[in-house]
Amino acid sequence: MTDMALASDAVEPAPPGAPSPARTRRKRWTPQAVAVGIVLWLYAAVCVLPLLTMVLNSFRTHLEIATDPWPIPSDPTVANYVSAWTEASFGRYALNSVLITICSVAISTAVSLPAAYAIARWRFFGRNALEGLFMSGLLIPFMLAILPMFYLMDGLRLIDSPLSLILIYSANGIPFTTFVLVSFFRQLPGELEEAALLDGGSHFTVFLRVMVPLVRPAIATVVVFRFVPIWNDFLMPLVMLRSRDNYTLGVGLTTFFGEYQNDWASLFAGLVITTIPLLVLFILATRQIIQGLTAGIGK
Amino acid sequence: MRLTVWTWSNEAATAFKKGGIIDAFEKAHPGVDVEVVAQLDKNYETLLTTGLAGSGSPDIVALRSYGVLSSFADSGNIVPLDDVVKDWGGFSKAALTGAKRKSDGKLYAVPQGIQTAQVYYNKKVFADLGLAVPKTWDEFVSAAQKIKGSGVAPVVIPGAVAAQISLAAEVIGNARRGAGDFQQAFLGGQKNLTDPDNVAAIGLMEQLKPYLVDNVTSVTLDEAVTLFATGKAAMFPSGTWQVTTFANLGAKVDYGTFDVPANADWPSKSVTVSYADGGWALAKRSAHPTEAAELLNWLAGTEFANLYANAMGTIPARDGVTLKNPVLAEMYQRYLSTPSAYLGAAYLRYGTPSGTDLMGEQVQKIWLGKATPPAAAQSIQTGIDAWFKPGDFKSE
Amino acid sequence: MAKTSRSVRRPPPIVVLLFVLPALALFGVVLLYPMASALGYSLFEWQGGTNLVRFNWFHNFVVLFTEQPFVEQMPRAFLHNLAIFAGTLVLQNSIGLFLAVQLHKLGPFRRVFQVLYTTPYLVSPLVVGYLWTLLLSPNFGPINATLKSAGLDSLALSWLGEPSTALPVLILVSVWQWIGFPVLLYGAALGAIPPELGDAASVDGAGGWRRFRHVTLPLLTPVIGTVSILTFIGAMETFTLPYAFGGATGSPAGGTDVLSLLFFRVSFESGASNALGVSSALATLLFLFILGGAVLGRRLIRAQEDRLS
Repeated sequence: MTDMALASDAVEPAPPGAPSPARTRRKRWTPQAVAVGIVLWLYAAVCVLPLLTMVLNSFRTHLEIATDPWPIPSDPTVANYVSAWTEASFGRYALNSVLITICSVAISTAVSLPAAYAIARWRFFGRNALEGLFMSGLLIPFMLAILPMFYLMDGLRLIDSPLSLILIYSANGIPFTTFVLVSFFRQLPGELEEAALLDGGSHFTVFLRVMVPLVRPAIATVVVFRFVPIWNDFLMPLVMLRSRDNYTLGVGLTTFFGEYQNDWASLFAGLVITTIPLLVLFILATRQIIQGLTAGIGK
Repeated sequence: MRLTVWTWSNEAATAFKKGGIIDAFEKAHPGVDVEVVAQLDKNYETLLTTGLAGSGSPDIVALRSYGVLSSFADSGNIVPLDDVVKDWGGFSKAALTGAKRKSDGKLYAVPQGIQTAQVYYNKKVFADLGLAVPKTWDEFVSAAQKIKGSGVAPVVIPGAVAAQISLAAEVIGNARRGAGDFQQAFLGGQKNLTDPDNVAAIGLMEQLKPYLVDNVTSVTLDEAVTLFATGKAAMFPSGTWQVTTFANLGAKVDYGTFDVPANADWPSKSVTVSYADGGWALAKRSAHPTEAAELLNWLAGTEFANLYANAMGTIPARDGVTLKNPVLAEMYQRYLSTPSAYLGAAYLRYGTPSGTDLMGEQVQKIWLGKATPPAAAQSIQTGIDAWFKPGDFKSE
Repeated sequence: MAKTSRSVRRPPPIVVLLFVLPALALFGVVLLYPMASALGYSLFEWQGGTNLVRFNWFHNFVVLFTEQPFVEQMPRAFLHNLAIFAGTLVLQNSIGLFLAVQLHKLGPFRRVFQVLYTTPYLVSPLVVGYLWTLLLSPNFGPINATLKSAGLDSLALSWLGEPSTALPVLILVSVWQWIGFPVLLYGAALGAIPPELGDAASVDGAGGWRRFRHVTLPLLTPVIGTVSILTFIGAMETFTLPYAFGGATGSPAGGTDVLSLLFFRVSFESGASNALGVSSALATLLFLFILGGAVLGRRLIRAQEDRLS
């Protein structure tokens, strides 16, 4: 188990303010550190300010947004939120979005993990072909497949069923998820498995108990990056669903795009409503990333 | 039972619900519910391709006129209506042209409405400068010059949007090109787009350049509407739909409309540019074809035409309609007396590249100083040569 | 020891099958089969979107290389895709790696920054496009208003109205939206590097940059490769952002036209009867190119990995 102990050091706990030995030697407030801090905060502003204008605009009227560049609401109104919530039935759509997105991401991660592990760590006949096959799924313009996918789901009698979306999204997640996870599984030192197998573990237990926890940060990353496009998608739900009761939040947002005119005010309010759950998820996921780094293994 | 109607237009769906259209039909047809679903405009054709191809098909779908309608008719997923709709008598010829399949001339849709395109002008700006509605193109240009001197942008065009540029170019250039006479010669193969008159028509867009709002190639449709509605731009060549858009924006702008005036030496007098703006088609896989046919016949009648044209703010496709909005009524009158088809929409959207896309791109190049009107005309002609054949439109 | 190694690397076939089959089955039925049939569409002539007329051999591909608009617009769009790839590759890897390395050194604030840098990714790309159109508007946008009030009128450009600025802006906004991905992935990879390696190197007297160059960077190569290949695919297939910026025609004057916009114009917008055949041929061509590029890219990365490890 010495290797395991070593590995747990590798992901050494980094409690706030307790720098690694490499860092203790450096003084905390060197000019270089200050400059880097400024750059980091400036870039954070670049990331957030445009989104902040969106939030501020959601409290303004359509005419104000169109005519006045400064997004400070002179007379803040929540009317946009009321109209977004009621006219676009966001309450109902949110429920569908949660169900569909969680199921899809869970399924695609669950089936991709063992496959990625096998591809990354084992030698078997057809391994390269399999990896190439999965990768090819990343390459095809999704728009092209809309028609045949519709035919497939129609053949399975799944039109107007959320199950059609869950199937499509989870299948569509497999190439990306395996692609990322393979590269992480590959990085892990080989001694880990050998030690665990020598201890009498089976391939399954080694995979589940030893290897999967090691790639938890990667899993969290993949989950976030798969979750978001599914949550925001509007095209597939429009293609596959018919009854309004099954629509998702992404579809709800399209309510505000007109033929000749977009309802910016309600759109921004709708956006804030749809993005907040993602933000919460993401904050939880980054905690997972840190936990994965600090406490993932070594038990 | 319930009939499902799809449209690309949020505005139309709202008109059906809030304009009392659905209520009127359901009252007269007990037992039939109508649901109007607005699909996303930008992906409408994608959604229709799948929507009409399998189960869960809508019963009636709105289709954009001309090329798109014709291509969906080719797919066999919508059915000919010549015998389904009993009375076509009230519809104008222009409206019916947009509802036909190119190859066999059969009718595949009940026309929704007509868009006319004209110049909107800000009455206050004109009055302040002592300007009257121009009577000739030269007067138009000198009015623009005067407006420019006052610090207001004379003309706004949504110069970031190819389709909108093409429409504006048609408003400005239709009469200069020779209107209906040119159209006939073009469809008959005697003239093509490199004809000197068409080059001169495109040249008007170059002539307008100094009078356009700054950075015109970055102006979106939303922005153009705002610039005009807030008095920052004095004239705006655009479609009928703007009457509703201006009202929705909530800005108070006192505006009037006119058709671009012609110079005496132009091959045509001033005309009202117009095109068929969509129609209602019957899905082959409709689960309730009988009731859907009933609804279609109602959509073809005067009761619906009156409700729809007034709720939507559009020019009616058939007779027997009274428009309550005075601005619309004025457009309608002009349309009845001097109509001229929007060549690009009516004939140049049956293949790739579409003539209107090409026009938009070439005019942008002219404005950016990267093309001349003769080169632009040549480029558009070369593009449509890929699929356009004079004489394909024999029914005209 | 060698025997153990073998059994670790070569489990019984049934075990391999159990690990691989669920993903393969779901992927094969729901994704691969429709994708393959979509590519097959390119060999047929169609009428009105969905009506099959006849087998057409490679005629649809011939059209792409001999007829308008493809002879003119395909090379143009292709070059734009390549420019977008080059731009995003350089920016994402440099900025992304820089930020990830700096954040890795950072203690408590790391998570805050990770969240902040990733927020643009959370917003729907279509809306991001429209949002930036509003922000960059020369007439009403706050960016030019700020520049003008700061006296920098010469910098208040018509950002999306000139081909020379529209494409760079497209690249920058795309990087802006996606930067969280490399930052998080590189961060995770950095976290997996045993600090002893770096310590050992610094004991050997290696300075910060040399340590990074000779110890950290080689260990990051697989992840950099992953990000680069995904960037390549994303850049070749980019649709939503160009569409939100320049519409289906790649305004201004085709300055932001890309292959997927051409595909969109041919397949769904046009009134052309054989739209499905020609657009599928275009997509097939794009697919083959991306496949070639990705395979080549992976070879390069493998070679690099072998060289460095």
